[in-house]
Amino acid sequence: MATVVPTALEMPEELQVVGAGEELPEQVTLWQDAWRRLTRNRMAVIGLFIIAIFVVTALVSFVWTPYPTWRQALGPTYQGPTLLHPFGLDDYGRDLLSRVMGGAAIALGVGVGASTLASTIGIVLGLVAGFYRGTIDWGISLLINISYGVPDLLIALILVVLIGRGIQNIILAISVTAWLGMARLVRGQTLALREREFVEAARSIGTKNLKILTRHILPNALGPIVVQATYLVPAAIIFEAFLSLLGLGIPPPAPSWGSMASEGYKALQIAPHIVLVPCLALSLTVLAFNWVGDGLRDAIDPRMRR
Amino acid sequence: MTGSSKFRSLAIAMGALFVVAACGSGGGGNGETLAADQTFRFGLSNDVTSLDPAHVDSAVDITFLNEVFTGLYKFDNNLKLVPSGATALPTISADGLTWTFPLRHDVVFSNGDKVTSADWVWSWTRTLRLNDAYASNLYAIHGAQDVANGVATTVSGLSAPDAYTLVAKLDVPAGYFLTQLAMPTAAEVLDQKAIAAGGGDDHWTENVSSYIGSGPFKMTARTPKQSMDFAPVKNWWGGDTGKLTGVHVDIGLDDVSRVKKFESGGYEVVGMANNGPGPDDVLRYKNDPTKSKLLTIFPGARSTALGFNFVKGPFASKPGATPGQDTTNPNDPGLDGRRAFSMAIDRAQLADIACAHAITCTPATGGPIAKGLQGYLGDGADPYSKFDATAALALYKKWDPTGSKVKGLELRYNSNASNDKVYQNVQAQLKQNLGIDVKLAPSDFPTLQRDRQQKLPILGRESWGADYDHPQDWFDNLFTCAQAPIGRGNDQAYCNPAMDTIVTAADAKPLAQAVPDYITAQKMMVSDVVWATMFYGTQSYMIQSYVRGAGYNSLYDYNWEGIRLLSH
Repeated sequence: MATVVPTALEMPEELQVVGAGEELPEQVTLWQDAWRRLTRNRMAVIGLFIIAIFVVTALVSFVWTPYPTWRQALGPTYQGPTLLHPFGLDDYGRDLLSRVMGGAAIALGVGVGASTLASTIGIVLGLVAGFYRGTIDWGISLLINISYGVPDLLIALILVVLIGRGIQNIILAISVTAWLGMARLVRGQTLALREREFVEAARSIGTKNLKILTRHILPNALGPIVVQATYLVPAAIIFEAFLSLLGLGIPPPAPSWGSMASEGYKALQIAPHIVLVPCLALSLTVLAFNWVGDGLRDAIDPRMRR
Repeated sequence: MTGSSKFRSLAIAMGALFVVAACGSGGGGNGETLAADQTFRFGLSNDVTSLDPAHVDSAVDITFLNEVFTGLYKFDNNLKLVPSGATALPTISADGLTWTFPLRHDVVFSNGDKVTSADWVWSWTRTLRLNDAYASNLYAIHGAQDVANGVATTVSGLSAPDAYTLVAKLDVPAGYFLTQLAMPTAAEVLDQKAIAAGGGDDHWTENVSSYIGSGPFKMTARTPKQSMDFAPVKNWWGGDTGKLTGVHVDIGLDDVSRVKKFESGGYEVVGMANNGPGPDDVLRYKNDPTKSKLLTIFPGARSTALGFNFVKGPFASKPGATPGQDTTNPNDPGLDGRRAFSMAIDRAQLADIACAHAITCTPATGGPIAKGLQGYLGDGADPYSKFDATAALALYKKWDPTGSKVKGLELRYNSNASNDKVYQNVQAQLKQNLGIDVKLAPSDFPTLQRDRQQKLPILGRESWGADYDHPQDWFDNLFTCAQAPIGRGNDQAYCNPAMDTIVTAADAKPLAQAVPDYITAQKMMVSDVVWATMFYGTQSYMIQSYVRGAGYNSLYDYNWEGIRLLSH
């Protein structure tokens, strides 16, 4: 078992001294250690495997699907699974396998896009609030608290109605509310880190605030940020599916999993596969991201170290 | 009394007893045993737009007006025109301009007020003064449009020489006028005193005490956006009001909820007042041997089409023309595009996908006027309704070789579950067969309607449900030059003076003589591809097994007087 020692990550590079000739145990970085722990977590590995399939499917769908995702009347509407159409056909006679593949690309785009945008907003505001404190912190915290009071669905619905239903707009609508948790997390981390000795040391030698934030505080808060960002992906996918279920998601004929479920629910009694297939894909993907998120959290959290 | 006469008397007495037993309390005639509760229940998605005959504007509203009010004539369940407030068909002068209507002496409103010719004159004048959707049904009368336009207060061509005679002088002979009068909208008779007592034009329909008509039923309760109740008028002047003791209408239930309530025994029917079940439920019933017995598909009088803008955009025959101007053009630059689009749509596929395997609609191959109606061209009579992907693509490539004409092209329609399905299929077919990406632009109906009247959509949904069975209803509302200016109902701004001449001549003739002219006119439109007519509607009804007499005659629900509920 490797021993974990404080890494260079935790101290300013100006102060790093390497002990010459000193015999040290095997050194691993925080991320190397986290990866090892992650790969030992069975559920996280399964999650990673599913995500890998999901990502590959999404990428492949850009260049190939068994049938065009928009093409209708490929066979009898509501047809169940057959050799030609393993997932069956929907109420338009479209191939569900092709549409699930296309839906993966949309889910991936929305999930990663919204997670990235929301994380970026949350990280920037969290860092600024936690580092500068005072009026800036008060203002940003007030904004966060007020935003928490307004239902995120309501904000997203209003935005989608105002700016339209394109994929970029959906990402924006989701991100506008999804950054709050990230901002709170980063603010808390920053408040704690800014009092640490290595930050004091950096400040004492005249390091500029921007550099302290980006080179010292942010890297040391990265673990929880990555975990939080991972959780944001399935949340965004679910949110988009929900918007689509309400008819406000990605406009047709784009094969969003939510809109596929929405279109199929009325025929649940005669063709349950139309709802089951996208819901299964959605559930698996969300579950996979959550497993990986849990695994990452466990792997990065020092308290979990044995 | 001899033995045989005794026997005869006994037989007669027994026969009489049998008849009394069969037709008395609990019997519906023909050996039917009626249920104790004769309350007929159904639901609507949305509230009625208006219950005022002068403002009525939808098939939903008409259902109720048909029962509460009376016109001079009405349609029976077989769409046969029969006298109602009149005693007979009108006497028409030799020049076709003076129509004399003999009125019944016994017509009374449900509050007991007698109906005289003065009430008819007042009611029709009021309808014209308010000049809403169906006021045009009375425009044929001389001076009617002066009242509609606010330049006169009385209709100069309308008079009441005595209490039970009504005379209408027309501007020009109008063979369709009688049919218009039978439509349960603008020409109904109203109680002037009840309207005044009920707060005038804007408020009298809000209270059941002032909502007075002379039809077989009257409204007994109404909570807007929640429910309406009706009951038969006692001692109705028109005779028997049937077996129903009440009609209850729920408001605000979507198609799925209505079917659920029907299945739980809460409704006798789903489908009344143009509020049918959704296509998925229709399909479910169709495929179930037991439930299919409760499902009846009636032919509808509706056509649905893609409409092309004739003055703006790539399909225009005369780009830049002002709506209302002649759009005929021997070098029509949009013609090939319109034809290509029409031929690229496989109507059978569309009906299969969007109409629950062609149950809720049928492919349209015979022009704009729906199958089953007067003026229908016949199956296959529209050559551009025949699906031919190869020919369509060749024509399209010739018309738009670079694809620039259809770049960013939007297809406008009003969104609902049914229309979404239709236009997503049209979008997919145009992509597959012509290789073009048409962007769907759904909106609510008022927005689409406003924009259509402004002639804004380049390509958009068109749909017309016949008001009455006469081709004039289609031409004079949708296709003539008079309707082409902005703000009027010819959404395509198509204006063909040669066709108008034929239509004007046809309008003056009795229906039987006019139909060939209307057919000629319609063929001109088909050749010009004003509409790519896609399908004709049907009306699906779910009717409980114990219900008799409910149904649809292509235009209206069957009269409530004939509906009865058997013991169950």
